[in-house]
Amino acid sequence: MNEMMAQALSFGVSGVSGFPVQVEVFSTGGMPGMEIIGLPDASVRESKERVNAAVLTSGKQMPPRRITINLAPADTKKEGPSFDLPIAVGLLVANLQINVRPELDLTRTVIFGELSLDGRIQPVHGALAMVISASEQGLTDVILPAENALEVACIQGMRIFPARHLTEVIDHLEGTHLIQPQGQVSYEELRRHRSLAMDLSQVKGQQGARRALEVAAAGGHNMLMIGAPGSGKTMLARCLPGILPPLSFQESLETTRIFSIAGKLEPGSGLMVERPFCSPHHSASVASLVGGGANASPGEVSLAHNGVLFLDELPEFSRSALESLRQPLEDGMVTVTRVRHQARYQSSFMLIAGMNPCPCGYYGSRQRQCRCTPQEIRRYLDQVSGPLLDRIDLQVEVDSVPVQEIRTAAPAESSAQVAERVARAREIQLDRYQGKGFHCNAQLDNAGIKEFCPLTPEAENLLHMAVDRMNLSMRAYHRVIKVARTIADLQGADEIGTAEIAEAIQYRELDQKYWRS
Amino acid sequence: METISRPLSLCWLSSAGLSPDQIRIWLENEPDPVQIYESFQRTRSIPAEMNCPEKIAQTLFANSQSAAMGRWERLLEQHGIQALCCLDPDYPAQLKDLPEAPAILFYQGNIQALRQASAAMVGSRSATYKGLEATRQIAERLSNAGIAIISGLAHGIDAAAHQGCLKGKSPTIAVLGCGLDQDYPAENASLRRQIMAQGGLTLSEYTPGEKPLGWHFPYRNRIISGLADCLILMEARIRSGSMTTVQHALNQGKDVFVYPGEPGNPKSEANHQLLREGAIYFTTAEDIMEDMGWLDKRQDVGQNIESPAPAPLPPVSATEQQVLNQLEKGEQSFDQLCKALGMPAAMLNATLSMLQIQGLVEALPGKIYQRKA
Repeated sequence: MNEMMAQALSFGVSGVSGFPVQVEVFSTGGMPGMEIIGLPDASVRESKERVNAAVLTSGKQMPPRRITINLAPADTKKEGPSFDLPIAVGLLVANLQINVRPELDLTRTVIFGELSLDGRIQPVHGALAMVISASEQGLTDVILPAENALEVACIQGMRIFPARHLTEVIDHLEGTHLIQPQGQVSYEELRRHRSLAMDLSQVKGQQGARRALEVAAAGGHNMLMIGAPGSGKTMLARCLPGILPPLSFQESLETTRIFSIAGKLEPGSGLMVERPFCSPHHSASVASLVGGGANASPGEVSLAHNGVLFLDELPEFSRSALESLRQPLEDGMVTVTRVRHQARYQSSFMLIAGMNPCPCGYYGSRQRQCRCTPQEIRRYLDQVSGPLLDRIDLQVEVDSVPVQEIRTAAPAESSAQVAERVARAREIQLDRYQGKGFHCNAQLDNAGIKEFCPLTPEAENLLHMAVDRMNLSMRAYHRVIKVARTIADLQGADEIGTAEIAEAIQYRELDQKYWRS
Repeated sequence: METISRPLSLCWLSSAGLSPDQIRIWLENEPDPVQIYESFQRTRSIPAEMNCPEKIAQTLFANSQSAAMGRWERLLEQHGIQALCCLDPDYPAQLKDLPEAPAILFYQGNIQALRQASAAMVGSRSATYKGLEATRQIAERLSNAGIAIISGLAHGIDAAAHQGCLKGKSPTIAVLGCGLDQDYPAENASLRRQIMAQGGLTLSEYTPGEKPLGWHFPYRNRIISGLADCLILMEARIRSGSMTTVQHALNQGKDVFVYPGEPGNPKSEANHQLLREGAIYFTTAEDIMEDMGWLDKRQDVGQNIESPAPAPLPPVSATEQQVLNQLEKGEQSFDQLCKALGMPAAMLNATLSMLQIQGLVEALPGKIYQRKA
């Protein structure tokens, strides 16, 4: 009856982190068959068919024996096809098809990858999360799909063996032919090849909106753009990632990990060097925005982590979808809860929203006549709730640029020039808020405003006058001060003067015009 | 038998569909409507010269017996509604000679507001931003000159006219197209409360409980033009309710002042047509006052107004003056200003804020700025 037992080490993904999974293979005589236990989902259960075919096409035998495969810990759900490779390895060892060279410790070598029927190894989701967790547990050797190798190449102290075919893995384990470990790629190296998707120099005219975008980037403020269709809201928003400070290594790890888990990373690509820009359509559901689904996967707010979330046609989003943004905007984190699952995803992003001034889009436009009734406009604007507006510091109108202007306007300032000023302002903020729990002006609470935003007496006077004469709400009052703080930082000034306050007042369009009845 | 109140008897009298003439004849026979009600209940007799159809007589009887009386009584009390008939001394003199003038009027608030000189302001419910602003401004000036503003409490120009008048010193009068208990349009409920709070008047020919039916409104417009000394049309399309008001005003021999809208804009199409046909052209409240001979009045009232001392404003700086000079040439968008002055956006933003706070410049929707008069 000669029972045989083998073990391989793999990783699964839960939330944004990996957890170790022991793949135990037990082979015994008796009725031939194969059973996978340890809460496998459908894709894991189907793995036995893929493994069977891959082993045979790789020139090894599958003796007719009774085989039990256990994925420990047995009480956690296992998902996805990444267990194919460790299961195949365990099977080959348990059935005495291969002899692992003695210096290789299977219990300390992480193996994951999906198999196709002909034995090729396919890339999997979440490779970065698994390798980071492995590295945290002191493991160093990883055998993974070749197409995932670049993704994890920045992690220090790891020996990554990229494999393309099951036979390569077999040769590597037996020692007949070793796989070349993946060389380390430094993050700086990757960043050198960065290219901007959209440059500010391509935006013609729009002096007001350009300036507002710079202020928003410098203070990390959320921003709402109001303008007729075709006035360039989307184009402006797309420029934002390019003027934000470059993604740091830590930020890149966080963002790439989420992209990797969601399967949004392009196969064969390395760590992300560009801040993400997500623009979900306004028909997006709550689950697609904040994450969810049967197995709790990250949503758009998490994919936009450390980047920009652009919501065009803001009032067209469902009320529940907009309300669901409040937690991530507040905490930089979403918690997705399902019956069997709970996952927390980081979601610290800059919100850029676009909207038309009215349902037809042409209220106040000189190009075309608006044909909405006042009730229609009110109803349209009321779609955006006060609590959400409360979290948007800048509201600006975007003027539509006449065609001849687009053709003739001189080339405008480039993103790189703006990014330099933004980076300086951000540094000032980081210095000021060291150890205070803030990173940028947008995060200031009322106490923080008191402490860090000193107004000159004239500026204070001016602000009170503005509240009085321009129908600014008290809600707007604090926002104006925060934005003025950022404008002062762009100027390198310590104190907030009248000019800064006066400019910041211009970024409260909705308080002044649209929401005034 | 229990006696009923006079307003309640007028509710009953106005409800059955009798024409204003028929009611007038009945009231001339028996000046006290309470008496009319009581004798009708006893004898079911109606003066023969009224030619009252049998069906209306039946309705009158049915109403007098049914729960309707109780409902009206409740509505009158709940909403503080008063009633007037054409023989009452308070009945507006302006309406007396009007053909089809309502024989019975319901009102809330200060009926004496009707004794003042008044102007009706009407226009589109979906007006342009500029039209609304002009309406507010003109209404406020007239109001400060002692002219009551009459309008229909609709959205758009109507609401703007009431708002402007409320900012001034005179009461404003709203003529509704439904029973006074109805909140229509619902969005203007707070405006209506404000009108009442500031000594204004709401008026309707419809019995309490009547719904705002579509045909009420053009018919009601004859009262708006009839009550006022002149009609001011702010913005209207060719086929619109405002044009029926103009028609009524012309039939009643009232002066019609027409505000020149933007040429080519369909929202003020009718304005231009009327101006071509010889309506009176005006741009400011002073134009109207001059033509109506109200200028002396303005001085009377003007002396009574003690305006609060304005807060001291910072003097206009050189940069601000530059922007002001540029805006003298007409309204301009932010980009245009930026380009024309060669000023960085940050500085222009700051300057515009200062000018807005000082009340010298106004921001229009679409990121357009204009010099304020």
